[in-house]
Amino acid sequence: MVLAGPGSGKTRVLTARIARILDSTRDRPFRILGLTFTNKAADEMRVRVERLVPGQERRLFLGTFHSFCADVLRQHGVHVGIKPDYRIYSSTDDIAAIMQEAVAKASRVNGSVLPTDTTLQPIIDNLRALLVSPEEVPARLHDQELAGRVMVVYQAYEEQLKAANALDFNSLLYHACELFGKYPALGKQYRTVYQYWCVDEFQDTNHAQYTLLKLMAGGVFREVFVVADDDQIIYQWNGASYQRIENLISDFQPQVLQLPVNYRCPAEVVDLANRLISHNLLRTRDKEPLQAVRERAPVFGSVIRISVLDSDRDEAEFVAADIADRHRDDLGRVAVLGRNRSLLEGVKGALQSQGIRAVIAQRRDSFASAPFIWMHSCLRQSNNRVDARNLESLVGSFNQISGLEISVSDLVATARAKHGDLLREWADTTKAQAVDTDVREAAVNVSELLVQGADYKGFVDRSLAWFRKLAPDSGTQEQFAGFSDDLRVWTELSKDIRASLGVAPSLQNFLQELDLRSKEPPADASTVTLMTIHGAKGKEFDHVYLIGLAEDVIPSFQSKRRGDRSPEMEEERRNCFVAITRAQKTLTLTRARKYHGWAKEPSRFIREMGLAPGRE
Amino acid sequence: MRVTNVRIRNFRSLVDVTIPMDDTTVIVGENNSGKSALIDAIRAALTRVPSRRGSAFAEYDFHLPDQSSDPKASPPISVELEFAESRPDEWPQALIQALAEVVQTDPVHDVHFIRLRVTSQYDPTTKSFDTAWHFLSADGQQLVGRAGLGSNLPALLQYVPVFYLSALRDADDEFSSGSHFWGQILRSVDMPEDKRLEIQRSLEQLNSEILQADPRLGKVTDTMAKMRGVVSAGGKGAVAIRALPQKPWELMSKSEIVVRSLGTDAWFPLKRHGQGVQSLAVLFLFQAFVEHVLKSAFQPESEPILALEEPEAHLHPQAARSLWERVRELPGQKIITTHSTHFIQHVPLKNLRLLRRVGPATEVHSLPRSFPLVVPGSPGLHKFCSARAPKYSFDQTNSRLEVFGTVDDGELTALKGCFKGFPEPDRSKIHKELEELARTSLTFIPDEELSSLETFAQRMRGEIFFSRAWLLCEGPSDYFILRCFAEMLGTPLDAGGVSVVDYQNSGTPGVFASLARAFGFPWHMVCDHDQGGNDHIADVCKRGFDPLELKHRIHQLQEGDLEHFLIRNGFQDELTDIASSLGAKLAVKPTDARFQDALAEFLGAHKVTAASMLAKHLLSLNASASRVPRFFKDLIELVVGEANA
Repeated sequence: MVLAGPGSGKTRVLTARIARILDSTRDRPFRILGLTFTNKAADEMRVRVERLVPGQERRLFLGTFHSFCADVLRQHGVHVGIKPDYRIYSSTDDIAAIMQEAVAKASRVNGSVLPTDTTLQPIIDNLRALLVSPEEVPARLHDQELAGRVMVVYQAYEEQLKAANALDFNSLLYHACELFGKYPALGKQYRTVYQYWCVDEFQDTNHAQYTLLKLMAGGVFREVFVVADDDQIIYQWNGASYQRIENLISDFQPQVLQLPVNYRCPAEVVDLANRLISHNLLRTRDKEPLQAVRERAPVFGSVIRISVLDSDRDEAEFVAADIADRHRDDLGRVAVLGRNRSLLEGVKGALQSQGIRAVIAQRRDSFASAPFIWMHSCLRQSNNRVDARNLESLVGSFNQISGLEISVSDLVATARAKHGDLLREWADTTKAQAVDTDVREAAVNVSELLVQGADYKGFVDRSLAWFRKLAPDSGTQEQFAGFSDDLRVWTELSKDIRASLGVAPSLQNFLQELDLRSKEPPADASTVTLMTIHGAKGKEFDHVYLIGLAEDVIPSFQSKRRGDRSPEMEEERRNCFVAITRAQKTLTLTRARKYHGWAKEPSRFIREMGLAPGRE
Repeated sequence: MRVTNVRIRNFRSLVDVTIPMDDTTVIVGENNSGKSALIDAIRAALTRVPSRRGSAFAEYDFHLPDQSSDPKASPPISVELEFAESRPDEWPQALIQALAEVVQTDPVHDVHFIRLRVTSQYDPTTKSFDTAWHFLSADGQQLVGRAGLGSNLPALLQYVPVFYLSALRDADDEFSSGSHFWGQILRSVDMPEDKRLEIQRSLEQLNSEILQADPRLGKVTDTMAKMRGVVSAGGKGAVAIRALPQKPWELMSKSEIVVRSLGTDAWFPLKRHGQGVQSLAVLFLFQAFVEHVLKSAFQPESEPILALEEPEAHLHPQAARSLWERVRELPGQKIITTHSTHFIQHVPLKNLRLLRRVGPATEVHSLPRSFPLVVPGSPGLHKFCSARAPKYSFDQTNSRLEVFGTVDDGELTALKGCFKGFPEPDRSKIHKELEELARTSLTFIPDEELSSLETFAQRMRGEIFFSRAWLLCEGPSDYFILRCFAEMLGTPLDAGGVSVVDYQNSGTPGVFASLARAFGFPWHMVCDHDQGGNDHIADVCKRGFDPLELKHRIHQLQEGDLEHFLIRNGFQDELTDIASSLGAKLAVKPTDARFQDALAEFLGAHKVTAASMLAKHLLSLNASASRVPRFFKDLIELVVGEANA
């Protein structure tokens, strides 16, 4: 276990270790398992490992816990009743639809289930994350009346997912744990194949993820290498806990190495971070303070500034004006971080009034523009010809692009009467109805490459060419809103997926992998990134603005209610710690006297960092 | 890693066959029964084709039921191979690691397996026959994800390289530098650089000594050098005579095996020896290749699969008989076809697969090793199976109960009890299926019985597996009489493809009847109408045959034993003569009512001799077919008819 602070090169250590093992065992067939917190992190590490030891890709699995579990279930899921070609439901719409069916079904069995019980979804999702099965629900909830309803709805939800041959995110881990728990022989197989396991950002491993590791290790495996920082646990709400590190120590008895040197932040920021985090008690004993290597700037204020504004609105305007003033040529290297999304909305508006592009970074489960929604649905439809739900988004998006008015229910009815193939029926109908040759062309592409042929790559290439031909003219601009962002996402994701799955993944593999990944556009050099602190995990920026340093904002109102010494309060402190240690050159802290019209005291963290509360 | 099971569909005459495979599997069957198809299908499935879209099969490989069938409209060819561990930790770790994407696990028994399905079908959009390779999950579904990557097949083939030696193996080809065994052996010769240079210098030295030995050679070179004026060859010294190869590799590529003949000092190149020696040499070449070169050419854990046609080719019967041991010792997995009665004498019955053509399709027969039944799981069943492992096993993923032996009455009751809690009518249905399973499992032949067969029936095994029907009889006297009567009827049993098995000397009638059933031979049995005969019938009955079927197959001499039968069916005079020539002094007169019993008693004491004398006598007389008693006439016609149906 490498215990190390922010900017100490944890990921680099992990990458180097993987590369060294691969390099020194080139003619051996065993594999290395590398688990990361995000797909992006895995993709970046993969590129680095391949640069260090080319030609060893096949021996490395690098991906998130979810994609690893997805792989395990594809290969061995039949033992827990999962077919290899299941679909991953990542969009909230898909989940909501399944939930609705589940509630309808459950209410037929159990009279106490209400039509509004679709709202139980978060509870069910949470139980899943805690690896609680439907049968165990009554033992886990105090309110037995509620437990009864949750249990039947949860059960029905499971059945509906199964009927749709689909899994949601949490069921990936749930069923992988079920598999390893039920059949120790499988853990043995994975230990045989993966002789070394590496986990990035171990501190944010939740209960299910850690359980998975333990089950796979079967009490005998010790070749586990994790990098962690207990001062950066910010996913406590998702089941992360400082106790995880203690569990690891008692379950695997790792050797602990500390890397206290911080290579990222200016020395002034390191001082702040050390002072701040020393107020936390729930952390590893003997944790060494961060050591700065960068020289101090001659003038303190050139690195760290603190500004106090009258209101949240003023604060947003100040930040926007400051960025316009100082960083206009360097927008891609600026990040504005806030405890929550609503704070960021204000800054986004203010930046836009300054004529500066800004995006709030957020995971996106589906494409945003009609052309890409259509192309994605065509691919899905080609993979599952009878999926009527997917047909809705296919038809909806294409009607939007083309101006046609094709009805989903008519298509479904005629297809069922003929051959059952919804994609074929859509293509035939569109070909028959389209007057415009451009519109016809799209349907012909689908017909030739997806209905008769099975050349999904050819279809994607032709569709992209078709989009480009259509986009600049013919008044379709409105229908193409968000197109250029989606195009960048598509290009990036297809590159990453090919890197992780091999040059020509099958359509099914490609779609599963696509479902796991966020469709959020990558940052570009002319856009300021606005992020929640959680989203900023693992990232770094030249210039960081941390806004909303007021009591009830950070620390949040809820954490204060839990008490000054509560674990929740400590998590808020770590949030602040993570936020400030993203800065490579400058750190600007701001607070307002009033948020939403309510007066707020300066955040206690300002004082704990050793700063004066600040003046205008 | 070995192939443990093969299922082939729509490949030539193999419409749908499933063949369990052993470390050494011996395939017998008449010409055109599908033996080569079986080997070709396995080879095609495990041979790398240059592109993923290429085809491993040709148009005529598709099963075409009749003249007008079109391969383009044929259902797909499918070859499904299973490689399975026979016990936990059998496979080397490196293999499991290298093939991680496709290795499946039986999680209950902790054994790994890999299932590969190769399919080929005409694709109307590309207008070509496309072959696709897919790895399968534990329940036979196509695996997706990393298991679908194109790199998995070549990785697998590294571990199970397939080699093929045809019946027409030609030592000339096999020992050429281009052959895969000899050529690879030669190419694998690895010498240190300084040694190579040293040899090269010696060769140059030797070359110039040869040239200097006769001055005329120098003059020839000069003349040849005039060529320089015509074509723009290099400068002076551009033409030379090379008497010897100049590079060690060239020299090696010309090397050959020489064998010293028995009783002389002369060494002859292999091709100067007889066909038998040549054919055998190729087998040993394969062994040498596997033992010394294979692992460096493939992987340290690779185990070759050798498809070998007619190992006995051109060998003396004695040599063919002893060949089994040599073949068995060959490294890797062997799939062997044979037409040699001598070769299979030593092949264990368990290793035999019999192919038979029925109409346009091939049937495969072998000894049953287990009996499956799909039933829902229950806690009781799990307990039952784990308590009686390895005889019983339950595969939860596929809800498949399997018994490796005969289900006895106690076990049947216990099995039924496992489904106590099930509602009706499910429970009754399961109970019925269990009873059926118990009944079918009676066809199992336990190891003890097999091993007694191995010892007793060796001589016979040579023939019976190449015949088309079996006629079981008690002993040699019946044997002589049956053959004699058939001859008299003008349907000699050998020509009719019928083997006569005198079971008392070689086992029990029940075992042979079971064996005949397992290998799909039509069979009939004739026995005496006495206590012994009744015991024999009882022995057959307990093997789970349908009583109606037995009525058709078992023929009992109504007159008691064979001697009584013959005496009462027209052979009394001949037998009286034979008895007296054997020194019989019968106390009763031929007119006496007890004479026939007395004669039969005497003959019974000289059973074999008397029967053989009668047969010889009748045949030398060219006795008329009309003298064959009705009982035997009907029986022989029945058997010969079934053999040639």
